[in-house]
Amino acid sequence: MSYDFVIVGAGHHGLACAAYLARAGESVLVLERSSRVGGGCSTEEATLPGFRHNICSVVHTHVPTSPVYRDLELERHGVRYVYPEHLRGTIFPDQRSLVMYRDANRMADEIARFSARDARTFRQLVADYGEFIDSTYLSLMYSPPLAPSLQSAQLEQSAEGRTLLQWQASTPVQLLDELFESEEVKVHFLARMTVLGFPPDQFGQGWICLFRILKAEAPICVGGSGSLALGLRRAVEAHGGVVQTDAAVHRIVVHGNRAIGVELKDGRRIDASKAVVTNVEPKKSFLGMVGEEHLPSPFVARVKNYHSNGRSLFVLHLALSAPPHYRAAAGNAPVDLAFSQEMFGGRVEDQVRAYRDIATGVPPRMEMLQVTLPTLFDPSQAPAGRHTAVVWQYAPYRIEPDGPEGWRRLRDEYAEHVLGLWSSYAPNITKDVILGMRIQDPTDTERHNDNLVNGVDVVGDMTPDQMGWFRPFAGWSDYRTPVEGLYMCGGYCHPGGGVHAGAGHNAAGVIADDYQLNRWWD
Amino acid sequence: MPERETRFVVNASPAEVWKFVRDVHSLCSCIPGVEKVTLLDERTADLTVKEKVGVVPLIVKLTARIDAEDPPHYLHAVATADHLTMEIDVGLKPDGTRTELLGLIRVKGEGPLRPVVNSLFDKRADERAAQFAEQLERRFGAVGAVGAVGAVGAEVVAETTPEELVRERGWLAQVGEWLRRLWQRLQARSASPGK
Repeated sequence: MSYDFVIVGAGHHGLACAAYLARAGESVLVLERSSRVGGGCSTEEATLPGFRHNICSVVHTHVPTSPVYRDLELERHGVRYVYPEHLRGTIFPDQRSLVMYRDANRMADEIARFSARDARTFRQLVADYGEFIDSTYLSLMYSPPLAPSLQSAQLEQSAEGRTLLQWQASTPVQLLDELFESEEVKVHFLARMTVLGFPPDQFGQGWICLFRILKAEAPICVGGSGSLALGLRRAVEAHGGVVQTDAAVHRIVVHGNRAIGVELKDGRRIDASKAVVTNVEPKKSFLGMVGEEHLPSPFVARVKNYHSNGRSLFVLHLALSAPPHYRAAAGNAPVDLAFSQEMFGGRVEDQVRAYRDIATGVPPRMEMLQVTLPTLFDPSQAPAGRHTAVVWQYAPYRIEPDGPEGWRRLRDEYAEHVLGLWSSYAPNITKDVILGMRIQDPTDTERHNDNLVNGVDVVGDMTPDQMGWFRPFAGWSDYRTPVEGLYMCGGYCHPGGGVHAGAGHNAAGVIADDYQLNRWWD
Repeated sequence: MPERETRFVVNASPAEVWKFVRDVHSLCSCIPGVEKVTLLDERTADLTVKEKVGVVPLIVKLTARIDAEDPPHYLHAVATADHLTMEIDVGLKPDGTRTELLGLIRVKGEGPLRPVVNSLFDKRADERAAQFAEQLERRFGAVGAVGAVGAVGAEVVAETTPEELVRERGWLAQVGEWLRRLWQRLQARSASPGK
């Protein structure tokens, strides 16, 4: 059996890459070990019949505005999004709250409830940097990463550019301290970073922080996150591509220095006349499926050093008979209607300390909570009048002194603790309202999708040494590998974790260039 | 490749406008963002262009060369920088005592900055063309914009009757035909032995 391209892993990146190649007229086979496609785009009845829960990703911030959505005509393939009017509501321990809006003036008015000066600063940031972010961020996400020298060469020529470079070098906390005076405003914007797994006191992340201050969106995939994966699968199949589930790849066959196909666990051999593309995280792809003997030792060293040690999530999937009503809504009604409610204490230091606790294997006892009810915006995800909720609490993968096994002992107690924290903000969340619950500790997350090593939901830490031109490795961030005919396309590549299909799109572009395929999307 | 077409009626004769278009310094004085012009020869100039995106200035150093001209009707120039190539066609058409100026600009981002260049051009081209028109108005007096600026193929022509539109397109077709012939001549030249 032979195809032009064999893609290992039917995560959303693999499917997107396959869809581009299939529509270019290539014969494409996608192989998926599990019985479902989508990887982190997964929706299942985790609690009770009719309650559809998003097991990993909940929101697809960039997908609807991405070239992938347009090029692959995903709407025609059944992928639709709804947009909550109120985005993220940060609730503070004193029950005041700050709701995020996509409209800059409305957002500034909200900030002004805490600090008039910060509202002015926000408006000025929008005026000064809004267009810069708009013009560059998406473009840079949906193209191979720029070398650091190329970025700095342009910016270092002007005072304004040098300010951006200085901000880029700083930590999120430093940048927020420079820009804002209100502790609540800082907590709110810092949460915009930490919910994505960015450490609050990590140097070299200021630019992303600026983006997260200025841009807000929360598109929810109708039918659940898994609907995106199904739409992508349809896009592959519409152009003659083949997607096989329950087909585990054992190894990538290398002849000389060229990938020529794959061997499945059931013994089948499938040839790839042009290339193999792996959507599987680096250690499994290169140390497991390719083998060190086929790789240069410096590359092997980089693979071995790829790290996933950041914060994970302790997740509760809940079936509810009624939505939560927050005390904070008495003073700011839209909090109840926001895409998510975020409870991260009242001081910047709370998030910093939580991350430090997590690094030492201690699950935070204070609230580090994000709660989302997709059914407020897409009722199709639960029976009529009922709701699903996903509750995230920042957590470590390893618990001192037991390691990951420690979750067996702790998970039920911690789930009760997290529910208690939540209900202290939303008192109507009682056992009567909770119809069903599934606990998903960080080890469950990894079991569900072992690309999420150590339960890190962004497929490898999003730290400066593993972002942009350094993701996954310096010199190998263009989706190519040292093995000819072997490419990478997962969340471990630029632009990183999350659901945006950027790596799948970008890998397809590089492959099209290398094999002189029809770049029909340009 | 992103492209934009723009048309102006200039209150001057084709000969006057041609003189202006052909003088790199005077032309660049009307192009927004051009900060420095160094003439290398009669047909070639180095330009430094500053394009502000919000408060962040992006500075692009271009070399522009006129590689074909048919005075006082048509000019074709190519400007190249590290990450982009810009092709510019300028056509002049008599309109009574005035001159209609057609500009067609195609920008092709190249290399790793290609998506950023293309995105910026898409966002800025209309605004910059309008500013160029304002500058021309200051230089030549009253100027009427014949057509709104837009992506080619989605051209909006203001206050133009269907008959006029047909004539406009006929003129565009003439420019296109001229370009085709020029291209054929250049190809024939490069294919001739001994050249």
